[in-house]
Amino acid sequence: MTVCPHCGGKNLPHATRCVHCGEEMGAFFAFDAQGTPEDENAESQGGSDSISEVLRSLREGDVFEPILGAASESPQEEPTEDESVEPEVTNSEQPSGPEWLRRIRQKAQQEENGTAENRDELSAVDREFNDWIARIREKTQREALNQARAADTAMPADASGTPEWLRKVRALNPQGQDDSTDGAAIGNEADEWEMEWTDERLRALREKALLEEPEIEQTRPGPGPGGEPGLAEEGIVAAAAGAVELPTETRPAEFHNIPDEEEPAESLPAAKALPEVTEPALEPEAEEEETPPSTEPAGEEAPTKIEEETPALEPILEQAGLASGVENLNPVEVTPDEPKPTGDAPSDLMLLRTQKDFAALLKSMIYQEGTHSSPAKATKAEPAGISRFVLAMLLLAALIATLIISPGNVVPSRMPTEAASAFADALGALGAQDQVLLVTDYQAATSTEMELLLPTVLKQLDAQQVTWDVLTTQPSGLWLTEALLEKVDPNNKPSVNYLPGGSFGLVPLANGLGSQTPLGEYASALPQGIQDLRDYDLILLACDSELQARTWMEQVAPWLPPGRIAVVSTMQTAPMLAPYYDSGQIAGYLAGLEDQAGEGAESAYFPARVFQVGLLVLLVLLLLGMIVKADQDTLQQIEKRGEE
Amino acid sequence: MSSVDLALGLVGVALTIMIFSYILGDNLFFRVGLYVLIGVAAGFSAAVVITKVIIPLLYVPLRTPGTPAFYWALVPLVLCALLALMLSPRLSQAGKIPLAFLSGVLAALALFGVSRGTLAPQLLATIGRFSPALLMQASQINWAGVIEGVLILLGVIATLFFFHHRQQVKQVGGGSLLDGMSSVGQIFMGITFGALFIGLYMTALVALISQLNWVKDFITSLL
Amino acid sequence: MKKGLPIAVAILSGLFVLAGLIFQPYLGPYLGLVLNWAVIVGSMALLVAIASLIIYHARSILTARKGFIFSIVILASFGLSLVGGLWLGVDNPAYLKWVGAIQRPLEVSLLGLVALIMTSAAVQVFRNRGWSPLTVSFGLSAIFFLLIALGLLQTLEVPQIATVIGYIRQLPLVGARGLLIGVAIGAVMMAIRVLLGSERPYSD
Repeated sequence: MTVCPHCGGKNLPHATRCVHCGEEMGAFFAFDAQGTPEDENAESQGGSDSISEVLRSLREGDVFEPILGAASESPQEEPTEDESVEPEVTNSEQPSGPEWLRRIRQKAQQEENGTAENRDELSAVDREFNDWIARIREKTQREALNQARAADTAMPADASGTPEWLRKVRALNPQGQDDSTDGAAIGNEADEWEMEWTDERLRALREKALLEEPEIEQTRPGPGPGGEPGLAEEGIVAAAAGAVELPTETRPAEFHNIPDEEEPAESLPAAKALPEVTEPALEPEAEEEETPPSTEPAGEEAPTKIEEETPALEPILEQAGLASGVENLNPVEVTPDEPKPTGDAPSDLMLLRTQKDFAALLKSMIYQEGTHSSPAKATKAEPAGISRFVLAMLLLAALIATLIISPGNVVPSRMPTEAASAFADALGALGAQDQVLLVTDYQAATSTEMELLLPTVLKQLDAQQVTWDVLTTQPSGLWLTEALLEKVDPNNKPSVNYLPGGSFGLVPLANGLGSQTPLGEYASALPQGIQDLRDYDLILLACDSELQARTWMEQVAPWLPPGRIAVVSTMQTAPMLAPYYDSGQIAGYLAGLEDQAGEGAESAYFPARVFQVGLLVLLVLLLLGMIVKADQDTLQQIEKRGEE
Repeated sequence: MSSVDLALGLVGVALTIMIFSYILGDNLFFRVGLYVLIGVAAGFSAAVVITKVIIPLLYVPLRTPGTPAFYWALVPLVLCALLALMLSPRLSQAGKIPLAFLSGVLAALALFGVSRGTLAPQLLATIGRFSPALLMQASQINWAGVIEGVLILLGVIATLFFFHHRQQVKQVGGGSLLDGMSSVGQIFMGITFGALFIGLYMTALVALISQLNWVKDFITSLL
Repeated sequence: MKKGLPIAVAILSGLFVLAGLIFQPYLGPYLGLVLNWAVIVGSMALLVAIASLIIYHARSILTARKGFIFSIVILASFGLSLVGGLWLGVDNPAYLKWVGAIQRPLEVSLLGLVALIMTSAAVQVFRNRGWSPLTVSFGLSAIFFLLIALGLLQTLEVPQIATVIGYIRQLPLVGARGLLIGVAIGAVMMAIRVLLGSERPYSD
């Protein structure tokens, strides 16, 4: 019992507010290992006690009384969220604990580092300690199951279906749990819950549970219901620290992995309970939080001996490396958010994250039984590397040899495509009074191909005395355009304008949304000289990818009259530009070397014969691949027939 | 050739060889070349963004307090500050707000732009093949136009079908009609992929030949 | 509240931009302002991403992580490039020439490398994928477009061949249109989900 400092009324040890006067009770969320100076003094007096004596006193249950009392009464600051996230570090950095606790810690550390042989050499004290812990666990479990049964039958539910115990728990924490460490843990849990347990996953897990129930059962030392996978790994101590505020009535909701003789393991997790603990199950919970909390004090009856012992034991057990024991007492598992306060828990939620991963791995292994497996691919990797090297060297050698012997620098003239003809028409229709905007939206990688086409086009514009401005939408476009202009050497060299922001910048430019609002001017991203794309008779878009072309078609073209955009692009983009040309959204397009030849630019310097050799090599390799595959299939069929 | 051009040319040749050394497998030189590219590109992009966006659009307006431009710049200032907090792992949650702002704006632009710029025009262009003006020529049926229209419509539907339902067809099996539709879709997709594959190869080949040619020219000029 | 604020920001900003695009005569100036903010925030996002990259590599050097030598390379090239740009200005022709002289050969060579790697892909595509309508039509299409690019068919100068070539060149249009419509439908659905708050790319 805790006495309220304001009215003197009696409250439960874990109460955050007084049930009589409603005032704050003080800080409760403290690490039990972090004693106050008074505790340390008191404990230092008994520091010379042997572990056996400590254990004896532990059994009697009176040793933790001063610690618990100090924890609840001391003005220690509440652990922050960070502390709850990394509590182990905090505790391990506290060398000022009581002597007996330090010894237990040391022993636990030794046990952690020890090997299997060390475990065999347990001292009598250790065995005694372990036996005692086992007994506590059994007793707790039995108590919990009994209370669960009693709670199921005895606890009345209100009109909204909220059980009595749940209303009492809420009454103890009317502000919700956001401010507490425990609340933070729950909040995190809820986040992760949403993140992890989607409907699809639950469905898959449910199926998996039905398929693989025996395997999963064996890997179930995880936290209890609502013990979100991985939660125990991340915040055991935070949970243990918050255990102090747990109402005893909620213990039945706990679930653990200890085989129960009375309750067969198969009967505990029920796959059919799954739908009730998914997200929809939490929704009514949120609604219920708005109902006025009951002022009735909950659980006035004295807690049992074990219930007194367990909260303070948790940090010790945790420090001793007995995480599974602590997990059984995990307060997060028994919070009011629990959808079902019974011993029945969904089997899915019993899994730790690692265990879930193992289960998934096992499942995938079962699925892959008899199918093509990854090791087969791994064995293929090496020959593929060699063949890649050989083929690459073959192509490289062919290209270099042709380049040295006979590069053939003139690109042969071809029949122009329909789109290239339309592009030429659009360009030819421009006169001296027209304005064109050249937009360079390509990368340095494709600059060589773009620079095969663009100089011819720009020189034609110059010849027709068309005025043209330059805009780039890529940072690298600044130097790429400079390099391009050097090649073209125009009559009036335009300055290169930069438009940042991609789609964000294109829409204002297409609509002429300047820098003016009714409330005043702002610094606009639009270039000084180019404020509205509708001012231009033709926009010459030089882009090298389908994505950039699509961005222009979607963010700019709808705001302009049809056929205002003509595209100069690479050969890789040509197939994806065809639909836009067919629908009349672009006036025409040139795509790479093919159309450069169609434009009749014989003067362009490019080793065309080397290009043809490269194409020929690929043609041969493609045919070779087909022939090899056909040959393999034929051989396989012959082998099959032979076997038959 | 000036000394600067010579130095730049040598650097270019060295970097080219470093990248092509990947043919021998992933190695130190290839990685150094790659990291140089990342470093230079990142540094240049950062310099451009700072000098062309952050300074003129954010810093300059904030130097003139009391003006409308000053007040309008406060909003992006706050959003940028929240974004900068993402560099700290503890405060990274603050960056969700500016990212949410960008996501919302981008979603709206995409919704409006895609529907007006791709979806509607492409659907209309597919259906437009069946307009009477195209199908009738001098009161005669233009059979070539009809066949072309049907072929395109069928191809688009089959491709869309394969695009969206390939997993279902693969897992469940869809009966002869659905399988047939899926096969037609695969054929049209295959044709497009073949064209894209060759297009990409030709673009890459042009880049390869250009670079080899540039190295050859540079070495020739040295000799 | 913590969760709700980003969702509210995404929905409100998206709806406002949508309204601005539809009712442009009335909301146009404010739409321009909001998009201007987006340009600034987007640029800042790029800077934050670059800063994150640099911090990571700086930590690699300080902790002598495996491969920290590459971190030195990246930091040195980044530092030179950034300081040069800020000192000389990004419009300085000499600076641009230096950046181009480093970036162009690297990027062009990387793309050239793709051609070399694609040769082995061409051989293995049938071995790995087997025969299906997709692979067969892919192979035939690739061979046909290679022949066209080689210019061998055109040299025959037969008018019927030119007509056939013209028709076959139209065929990729069908698949490309199907792909574009498919991608567009996906993009519209995603955008609607973001505007309704059911999709939260900013929460990842």
